[in-house]
Formats: sequence, structure tokens, C-alpha cells
Amino acid sequence: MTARGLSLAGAILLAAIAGAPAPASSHSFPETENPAAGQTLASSPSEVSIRFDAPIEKLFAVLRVLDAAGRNVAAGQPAVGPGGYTLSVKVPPLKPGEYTVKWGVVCIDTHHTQGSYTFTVATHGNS
Amino acid sequence: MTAISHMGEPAGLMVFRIVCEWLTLAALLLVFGLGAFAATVARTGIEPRVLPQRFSTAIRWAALAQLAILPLVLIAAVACMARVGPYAAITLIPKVLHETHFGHIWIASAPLAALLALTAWSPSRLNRVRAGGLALIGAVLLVLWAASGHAVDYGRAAIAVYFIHEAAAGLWIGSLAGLWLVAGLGDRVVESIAPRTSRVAGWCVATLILSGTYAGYDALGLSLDRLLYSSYGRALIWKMGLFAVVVAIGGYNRCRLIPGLNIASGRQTLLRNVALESVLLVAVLGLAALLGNTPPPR
Repeated sequence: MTARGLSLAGAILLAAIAGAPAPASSHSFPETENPAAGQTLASSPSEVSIRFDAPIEKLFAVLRVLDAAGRNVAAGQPAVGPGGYTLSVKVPPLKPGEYTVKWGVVCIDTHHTQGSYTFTVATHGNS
Repeated sequence: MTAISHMGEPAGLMVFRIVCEWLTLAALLLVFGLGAFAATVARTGIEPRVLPQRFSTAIRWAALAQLAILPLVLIAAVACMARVGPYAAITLIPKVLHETHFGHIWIASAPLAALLALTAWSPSRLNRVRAGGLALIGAVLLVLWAASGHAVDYGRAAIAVYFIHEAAAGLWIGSLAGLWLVAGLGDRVVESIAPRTSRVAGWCVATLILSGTYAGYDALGLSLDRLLYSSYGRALIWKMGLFAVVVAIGGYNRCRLIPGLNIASGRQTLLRNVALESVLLVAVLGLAALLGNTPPPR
């Protein structure tokens, strides 16, 4: 291992890091939510979806939309979009009130993440 | 209000998984490294067929071990993904094999692992072609291994870097173990092989530092806080510390012992140090398995 070889290898590494995109997170974490966390909507959404920063496994994906009483109001099973980045579920017209979205996924690297957030459907004239 | 967490698997399951992955990786790297070592040794004038029987025996048992543990790796991964016990995980295996990325990787790995074991247990004596074949199959398995871990979250470049990292570790372990295993052939063999092993080790260390730095940047970015105050960062510090100890021993061997290999006590000390380095490197692999199952901080 010569000093010249080490210098060259070090320069390649520095160039690779300098040219690399900012590091993404390992495991799957939400990039965006729709409705967004904490958002107040004027009307009911037709679906709830979350886009993750790494692909997820459909087999272990869980997405529930809970009303104030803790009942799951999601219509059917959650779907995973092409590429595995998006998890979504249809919801029926939601009554005004606060809803909690609970999700749990397994990234394609086999590791779990989970989380929750809330959004609100406003009463008429209160958005 | 948003709450997000990594959902840690039950501790017992995680330990089971880490141990399975540790043993599989160690066995696979040993086969790959010894195969590459045998093919390289052949280039320097010592034909693989004159290698001692214990060299072939080590390759055979390591190849058998990686094949035998592979089903346990699958069960452990399924149990962790589904958050169920190992027995319940067995019933989920068909779905996981067909519907998940890990399952597809495992399906590709299993026949190759069997081929590796069959090649290792071939009744013919180890020759250059078979040693090279073992290294090649081992390399493909290492690519698949890299594609099933954290690297898959970062893209193809990361998978390539993780593979290079693993391959360098395998070559280093294989060279050290190979030197120790051929020591019985005589002092002149040790005198001729040890300097070459040291050069290979030097390149492996440089490659490990460079690829490890890249992988560390992928996981932690340039944040010192993430390194010091996260579980992943602390495990990485332990791994780097142990790695530094092995490098220090290797440096001592290279600078102090290899120049005096014509002295019997020097050769004995070198071989003892090489055995110690090999054991410590296997411990480093355990920390690598731990890192592979620890979420990098966000």
C-alpha cells in the first residue's frame, strides 16, 4: 500500500462523498402525508396516503384512520403504490372531527417503523 | 401532531437474528477469503493441491455452516418482520418468499449457498479453478447479502460499496486464516507467504476504511451528534475501536515481525498474532451484524 495509492483512494472517496446526495434515512419513514399532519380540511378527503422515503413491503403494511371514538373508518385494505413508496387507503365521507392516522410498515431492508398523526375535518364554515 | 418510531423487535428475536447473521456472514467470508487466498497462493508458486488437508477442511465446514444456518436466517428475518415467534414465522415463510424483497433475495441465495457447499465438498483435491470458483460463488452471495440489508435503502451505489466492504473483509480474514492454515507446510512457506498476506491485508484495510467511511456517511451524514449519541453511532464506535486494535496488531506484524521471519520465535509470534487478529475480526463481524439490525438515526 503506497502513499500514492492511499492518496488516490482518499481523493476518490472525497469525490464520491462530495458528489453523493445527502444521506437518506435507512428504514422507511414518511416524507409526506396527505392529509398533512395537523392539517384542518374544509371537506372530507377521499383517501389518506403517506409517501415513504424508502420502499415498503405490502405484506406487512398497516394503515388505519381512527375517529374520536377509536373506530377504524378506513374503507378496505391499504394499498401500496408502484415502487413501494406510497401507502394509501380509501375513506368514506368523514364527519367533522379529529382523526388519527396510525401506520406501521416494514421497509424492504426488513426493519419496522411505525407512527401516528392527526388531521381534522372542519365543521362547515370553520376551515 | 406526529409521532414516529423505529419499532424495535423483541430483544430475544433480535439476538437470535443477529447471531444467525453473524455466523452466516463469518462462514461465507471465510469461504470467499480462503478460496481467493488459495487462488492467489497458486500464482506465487504454491499450488493449491499441496495445501494442507486442514485448509480444505476449513473451507468445507465453513461452506456447510453457511448453508445450514441460512434457513435460520430466513426464520429470524420473517419473525422480526412479522413480529411473531420463530414457530409462527415458519407458517409465513411461503408468503414472505414470494411477496417480499428479502424473500426474493433469499430464493436467489439458497441455491448458490448449496452450490458453494457442493463445490467445497467435491471429492477432488482443491485446485486453482475450484478455489477460484468458490471465491466467485462467495462473491455473488456477498452481493446478494449486501442487497438485503440497509444498503438497499440507499440505492445501487451503496450496495456496490457494501459489497466491496464485505469482500475486503473476506479477503483479509481469508488471508490471515490462510496463512495460519498453511503454516504447517514449513518455515519457508511462511516466510514467502507472510509478506504477501501483509500486502493484501494493507489493501484490505485501506478499502475497508474508504468503503466504511462512505457507508458511515450514508447512515450518519456528517453529524458528530449522530455518531456519539445514537445506538447506531455507538455500535459503530465499538466496531471502529475493535477494527483499530486489529489494524494495530497487523501493523506491528508488518513492521516488526515480518522483517525478522528468519527467526523461529518471530515466526511463532507472527502466527499467534495472526490467530488473534482472525478471532478479533470475527468479533468485528458480530458488531457488523449488530449494525445491520440497528436503525441509523434520522
